[in-house]
Amino acid sequence: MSASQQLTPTNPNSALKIRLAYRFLLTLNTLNAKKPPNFDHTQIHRRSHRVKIAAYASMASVVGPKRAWSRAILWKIRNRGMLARNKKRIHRISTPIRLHRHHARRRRNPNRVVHVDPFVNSGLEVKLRKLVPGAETIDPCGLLDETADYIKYLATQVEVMRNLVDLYSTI
Amino acid sequence: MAGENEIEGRNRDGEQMHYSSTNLSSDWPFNGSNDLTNTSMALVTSSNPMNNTSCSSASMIDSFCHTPPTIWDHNPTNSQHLGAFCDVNLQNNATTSSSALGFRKGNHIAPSSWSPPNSAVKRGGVFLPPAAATSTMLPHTLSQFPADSGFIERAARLSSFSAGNFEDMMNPFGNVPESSLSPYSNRPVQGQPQDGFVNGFKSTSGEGSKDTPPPVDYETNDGSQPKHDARQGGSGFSGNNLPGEAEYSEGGQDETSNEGFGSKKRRRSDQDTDYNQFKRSPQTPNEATRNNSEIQQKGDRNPNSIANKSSGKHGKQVSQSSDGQKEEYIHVRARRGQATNSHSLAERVRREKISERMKFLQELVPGCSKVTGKAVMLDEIINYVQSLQRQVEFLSMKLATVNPRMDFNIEGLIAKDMLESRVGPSGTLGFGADMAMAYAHNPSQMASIMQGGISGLGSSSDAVRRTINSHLMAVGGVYKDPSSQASSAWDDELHNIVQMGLNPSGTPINTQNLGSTPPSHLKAEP
Repeated sequence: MSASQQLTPTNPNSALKIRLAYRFLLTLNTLNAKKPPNFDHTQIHRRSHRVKIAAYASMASVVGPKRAWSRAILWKIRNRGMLARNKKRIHRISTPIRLHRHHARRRRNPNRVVHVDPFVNSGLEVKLRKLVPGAETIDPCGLLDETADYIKYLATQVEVMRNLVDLYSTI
Repeated sequence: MAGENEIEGRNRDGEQMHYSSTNLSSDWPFNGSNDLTNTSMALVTSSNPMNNTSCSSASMIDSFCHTPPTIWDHNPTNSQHLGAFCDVNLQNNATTSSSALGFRKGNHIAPSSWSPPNSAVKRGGVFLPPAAATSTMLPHTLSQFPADSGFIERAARLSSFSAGNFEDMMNPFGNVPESSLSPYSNRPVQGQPQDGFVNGFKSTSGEGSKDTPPPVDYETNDGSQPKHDARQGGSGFSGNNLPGEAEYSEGGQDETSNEGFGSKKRRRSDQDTDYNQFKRSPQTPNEATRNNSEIQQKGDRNPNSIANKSSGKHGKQVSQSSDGQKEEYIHVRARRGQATNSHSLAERVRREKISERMKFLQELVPGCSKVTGKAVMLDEIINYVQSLQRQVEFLSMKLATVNPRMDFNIEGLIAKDMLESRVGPSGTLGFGADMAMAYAHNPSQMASIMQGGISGLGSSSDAVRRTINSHLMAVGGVYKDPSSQASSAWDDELHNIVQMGLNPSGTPINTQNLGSTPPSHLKAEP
C-alpha cells in the first residue's frame, strides 16, 4: 500500500537519527560479528563497555571533525590504549599536562588541563567543561556552542539506542 | 644584453641587499622577491658592504651604458642620480622582477629586491626619477655615483620607493609639493617618514619592530653627506617622504581597525605586497592620495596593513587621536546611554553572544523554558548532560545483553525505527520495508521484490521475526549496492527468505545463513 511512500524526513531530527542509527548499527554489527555474544556476567560488562564506546564513536564520527567534542572523542578513542598505558605508568600524577605522543598535528591537546578562569559561575562552568568532551580549553562562548551541539547529538543517540533496545527486546 | 642585465640585476640586488642589510638588518632575506640571486647576494653583501657598494655602483654604471633605450625614454628627467638609479632599478626589474614578482610595471617599478616597502610606495617619498633621466644625463649621474657610498645607499633606498611618486620626488630636490605636505607639515621631518620608509622596507618581513634602527641610519646618512646634489635630493626626498608619509599615516588612522588584520596580513607573502606596491608605482602623489583612499577602501589588503603598520608606530598617536569613532572589527554600534569604550563594547558583544546561546540551550534542554538566569540554567544543563550520559551507559548495557541474537540488517532496523518513531507501532513491517527501500534509493527495484516477499510472509506475530529477518536481509542486500550482481543476490536471497520464512522451523538456520551475508555485505559497503 505504501509502496510509493517516500521516505522524506519530516524534520531534520529524524534525518539525523537515521544517520546516527545507521552508524551505530554498523559498529554494533562489527562488534557482534567479531565475538559471539555470551551471557557471562563479566563478559556482559565488557561488552557493554564496548557498546558504549561504539555509541560515542559512532556519534562522533557522524559529526566528523567539525566539532571540538567530536574530535576529542575520536582522539580519545583512538588513543585509549596509549592513555591507559600512560595512566598505569604514571599513576595519574596531578601534572597539569598529561603526556601524550600524538600531539604533533593537533592544535589543541584535548588532554591538556588548562586552568580556565570561569566567567561568572565558578565551579559550574568547570563542571560543564568536564562533562563535555574536549571542552576544557574553549572560551566560554564556544563552550556553550559545543554544549548545545553535544546535547543535540547525545539526545538523538540516546533515542536511537532506546529504539534499538525496544526493537531487540520485542523480537 | 640579457645576460648583462641579469648580472646587473644581480649586482643591483646585491647592492640593494647591502643597503638593506645596513639599514634593515635581516630584512633582505625576507624580501618579497623570490629571486635566489637576491638572497644569495644579500648573504654575500652583508659581509663587505663598502666593497660591494663600490663594485655594484661601478657595475651599475657600466650597465647604464647598456641599458635599453626604452627604459631611458620612459624615465622622467628630473634628478640625475635618481634617474640613474632608477634605470638601474628598472634594469633590475627587467631582469628580476619578471622572475620574482611579476610586477613588470614597465619602467617605474622599483627593483624587486626593494619591493618590500609598500608604504614607501604609498608615500610620496618614492622618487625614482626614471622619466627624468635621459641618456645624456646618465654619464653625469654615473660619474657621481661611486663617490658616495652613503649617497648610494640613500639613493637606493629612495629608488626602492620608486613606485609611483617619482614625479613628485623629482621636483624637489627641495621643493616638496605643499599640497601633499599640507596637513602634516608641522610634523618632524626626519623621524616619521623614515619610520615609514623603514617600516615599508620591513613590511615584507612583517615586523615593525625594527623601526628604530633604520631611521637612525637614515638620519645619520643624511646628516653626514651634505655635499652631494643627490643628498640634497635625498633630503628633498625625505621631505617628500614626509608628505607621503603623512598621507599614508592619515590613511593608516582610518585603518587602525584593520591593524589587527594587518598584522596578520603582513605575514603574507612578500610577493603580494611587492606586487601591490608596484602596481601603484607609476602614480603621482595626487594619485597616491587617491590610491591611499582606494587602499583604505580595500580594507584589509596587504599594503593597507603594511601602511598601517609602517605608519602605525609613529602615527599611532595621531591615528588614535583621530580615531574618534569606536572601531571594532565586529562593528558594533554603541547603544544610547551605554559606554562607548572599546572594552565595554567587546564585553557587551560577548555577553550578547552568550545569552543567545543560553537561549538556544534552553530550547534544547527540556523543561528549561521557565528558568531564568545563567546559574540555574547552567545547573540544568549540567544535570541534563549527566543524565544523558547515564542513559547511554544504561542502554549500552541493555544492548549488550539483548544484542547477541541480532544479526539484523541495518536497514530493517532503521526502517523499524522510523516506523516506530513516525508511523507508530501500528504500522506493519511492510511499511517499514517500503520505507527502507525508499531510503535505499532503490525504490523501484526493491519495492516489487519486497512487496512480493512481504505478501508471501504475512505478518503474524510468529512470523514477525522471520519477516523482520527477511526484510532486513533483503533490504540490506538491496541497500548494499544497486549493481547487477547485487540484484541477482537479492533474488537468491529473497527466494531463500521466502522459503525459510514460510518454514517456521527453519528460522534459526535462516538467521544464521542470512546473518552471514549481511555483515559481508555491510563490510563491502564503505
